[in-house]
Amino acid sequence: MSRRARLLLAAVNGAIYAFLLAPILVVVVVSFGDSAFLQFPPRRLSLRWYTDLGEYPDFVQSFWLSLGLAAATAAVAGVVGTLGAFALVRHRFPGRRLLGALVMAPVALPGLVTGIALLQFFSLLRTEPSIARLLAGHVAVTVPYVVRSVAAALAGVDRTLEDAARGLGASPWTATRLVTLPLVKPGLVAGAVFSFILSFDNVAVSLFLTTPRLVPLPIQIYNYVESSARPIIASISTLQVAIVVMLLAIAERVVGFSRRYVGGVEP
Amino acid sequence: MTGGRPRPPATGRGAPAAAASGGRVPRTGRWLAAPLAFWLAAWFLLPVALLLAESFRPVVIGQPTPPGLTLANYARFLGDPFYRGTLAATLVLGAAVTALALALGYPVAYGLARGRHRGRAVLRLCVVAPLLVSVVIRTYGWIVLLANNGAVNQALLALGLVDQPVKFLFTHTGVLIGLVHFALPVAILSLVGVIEAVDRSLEDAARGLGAGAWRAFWAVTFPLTLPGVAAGGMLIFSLTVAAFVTPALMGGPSLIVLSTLIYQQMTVTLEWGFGAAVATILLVVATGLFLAAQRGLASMRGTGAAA
Repeated sequence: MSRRARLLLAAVNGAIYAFLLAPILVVVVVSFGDSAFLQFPPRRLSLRWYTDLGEYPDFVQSFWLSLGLAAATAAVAGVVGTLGAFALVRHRFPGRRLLGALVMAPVALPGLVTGIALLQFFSLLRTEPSIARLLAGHVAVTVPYVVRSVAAALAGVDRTLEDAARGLGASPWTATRLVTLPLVKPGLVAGAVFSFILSFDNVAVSLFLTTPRLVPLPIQIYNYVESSARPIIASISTLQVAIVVMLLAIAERVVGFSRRYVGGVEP
Repeated sequence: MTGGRPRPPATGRGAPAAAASGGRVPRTGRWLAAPLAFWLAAWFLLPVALLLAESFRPVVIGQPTPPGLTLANYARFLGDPFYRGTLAATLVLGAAVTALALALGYPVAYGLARGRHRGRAVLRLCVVAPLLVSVVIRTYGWIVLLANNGAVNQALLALGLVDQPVKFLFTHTGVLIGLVHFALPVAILSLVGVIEAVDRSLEDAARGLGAGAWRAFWAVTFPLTLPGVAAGGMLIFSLTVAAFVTPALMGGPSLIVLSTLIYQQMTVTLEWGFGAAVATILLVVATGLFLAAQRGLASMRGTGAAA
């Protein structure tokens, strides 16, 4: 490319990157403002919207609910998805093709449709509204990512390593535990972290499964934004973003998360 | 994940005999698959199937549901100009967002796919970052930016481009901006794969034969990426028509799309049969295009495997 073309491309792309990051950065900046009303750019900086968070017990409750829900979703989806990936990649069983074809279906369907379907289903079952409803829905829409990520890792494991362990006298379970699982671990961690984030961010499914007492954080933020765009929303949002960033940084150190997901992320 | 081979029988002796004698075939596979199969069946497939069924059930307000199946809910949707308008608005908005996201995403994707500089990892992270932030927070950010006294209007006024603040919120323009932002990372990520799949040496050959950089790009690289651009477009379209938060918070009552109509039917007017029918229409449009896009993008990358 000529120098001029390259400069032009860089300028255009710079503007587009700014567009991509602007709404996130603006939330972070507003959260450190001092004014009682929404003001951008803030005249003075302060931490009042963080120290005041305690006065918004519904935000605090929603925050812990979402954190717990995301952790439980990651754990359940991690276990269920890993077992399923082993079955799909390593075993033969009736319905294997069907399961392999259907496992990505929750990704293909609009989350809103899944949410409504669950709402209707749970009211047919007449179950009491509970966190279990949310967990059921969150695992259903995140488990495909664990299956895909573990299956990809598993497909890359050299079978002869396991055969060697078996030849040296290890039982199938010991060989799997000591040889295969450590090799699959990066895929498992990446899938579980991704499940955590998707659950922590989820709106479409949660929207229909909330009750006045069980409101996940994104829905709580949604409700607040709907009534007024106060700065308290900015501080709780910044905290949520900070948790996702921290988690990603840890995952990056442990398993190289971005190598697995950057380039293949689907919302 | 379809590339897996069945595990060879673990016992060294008499493997074919073990496979033939049914009872000794290891059942490990079905036990491992059971939790996943159960979860998907109970908390996804069955509820979705019941939702589809609900859309075909006759509804008489205030009475128990009569037996039989009906297309009345669909007929009501297609017969009413307001609902048809909602569908049209959703599709038009989806098409506009898709076109804009592809146009803005292409140069960024090109820079990421062909650039050789060290900052590429950071730039990729900037593209992915919005996807990892809840869409509610991104939308809130746009509301702060686009408010009447927001940063965008302040800048426009300061530059003398407008005399009074432009009304972005609760207008089509605001929703369009929010949705383009929502779709752009997806556009960039799918286009990076598409552009990377085009052999760089083809462009070099065109240059070697005397074409300028622009000409080499427009005559060689761009046409080769078009099938991938189309597949990426279908993916963006399917995600955009299903988007809920951005039209709900930024459009308000000025812009009803399918997703906000469904929400209204399910939570406010409580006409579940009709809501289920609208949800089915959205499902068919969004999922159909999503699957077509997956297929197209997979074949562009030359892997052919399930994405």
